[in-house]
Amino acid sequence: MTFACSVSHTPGITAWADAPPAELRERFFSAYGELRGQLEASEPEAILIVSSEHFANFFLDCMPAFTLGVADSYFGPVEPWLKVEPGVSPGEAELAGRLLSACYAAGFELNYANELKLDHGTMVPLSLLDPDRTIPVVPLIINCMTYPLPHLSRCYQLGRVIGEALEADPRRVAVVAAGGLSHAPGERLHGQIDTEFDALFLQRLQDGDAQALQSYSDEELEKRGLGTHEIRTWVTVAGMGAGRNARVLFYEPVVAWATGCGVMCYE
Amino acid sequence: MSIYQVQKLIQSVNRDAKSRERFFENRDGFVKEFGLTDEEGAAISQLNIHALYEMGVHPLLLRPFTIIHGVSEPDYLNAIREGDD
Repeated sequence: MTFACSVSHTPGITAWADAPPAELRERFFSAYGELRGQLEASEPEAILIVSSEHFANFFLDCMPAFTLGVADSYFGPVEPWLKVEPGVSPGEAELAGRLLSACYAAGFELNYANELKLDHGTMVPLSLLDPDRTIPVVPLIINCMTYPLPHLSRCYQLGRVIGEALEADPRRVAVVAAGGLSHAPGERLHGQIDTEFDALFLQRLQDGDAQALQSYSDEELEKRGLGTHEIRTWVTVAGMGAGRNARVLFYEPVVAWATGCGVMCYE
Repeated sequence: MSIYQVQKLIQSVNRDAKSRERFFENRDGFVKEFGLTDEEGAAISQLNIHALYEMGVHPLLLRPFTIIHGVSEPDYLNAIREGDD
């Protein structure tokens, strides 16, 4: 693992990028830019992106908890309004296959997908971190939408398993967690951002407090909006980076995007 | 009552261009294909946002469905918050 970071992926970031006040959006995009610089400098051969999706691939007819993309390529974004040019990202099927085997050996029977569309959950961060789409992508999609959701302890443990697999793998891999922080898209709570909750979550990441990170109940998260369940992706990458220091580059409640937006890197 | 069938209808309109076309051509006909109750069918045909939200349609399905109908964000939020303090 050459590089790891965790970012918000709220669609406003690309779809209505100019909406927040100038000073705030400059700091936000500057933080994302810093991540891009570090990611590129780490010379990754692939990006493992851990995110949620939003009914782009999966529906209630058959809802997986964890899905690993094992394809040679991925089309996205599916949202025509996202203001991200639609196109194809290369995959890294062999790396994905090795990660999948390592997960199964450790007792994580992930779903796997030879076809996966990328929605804003992956495309917002990828369009900012690798706009030319040259770095092969391995998507790990976590159900953060429809109950029951995988427990945070399972997410963290999956992160540990994948982290170990990456350490042993010949490929140089950058890891990106995407989603969160507190937000309630399309709900009554829409627009409300719990800055205290977000600050405490970020503090726990910086403290490396694995127990506390895994301790949130569904009720606690739901209270801040269903979108807050997406912290699962951050917790998964925390498991991968266990032992590394987390540094927050940016956090603000971005009212224009109705999301508590965080940008964090691991060093 | 089948919230699954209601959501299945919404997902098909949200995601599939052909279904979307058929839905707007003949709402009642399209609704019949999903075996909804009269109450569910009416909520869909009349776009009763409040009723659909209360029924338990997932916000990530409901909001895109209303966007397809040209409902603005303030109007959507007002509709789902109807009756709140």
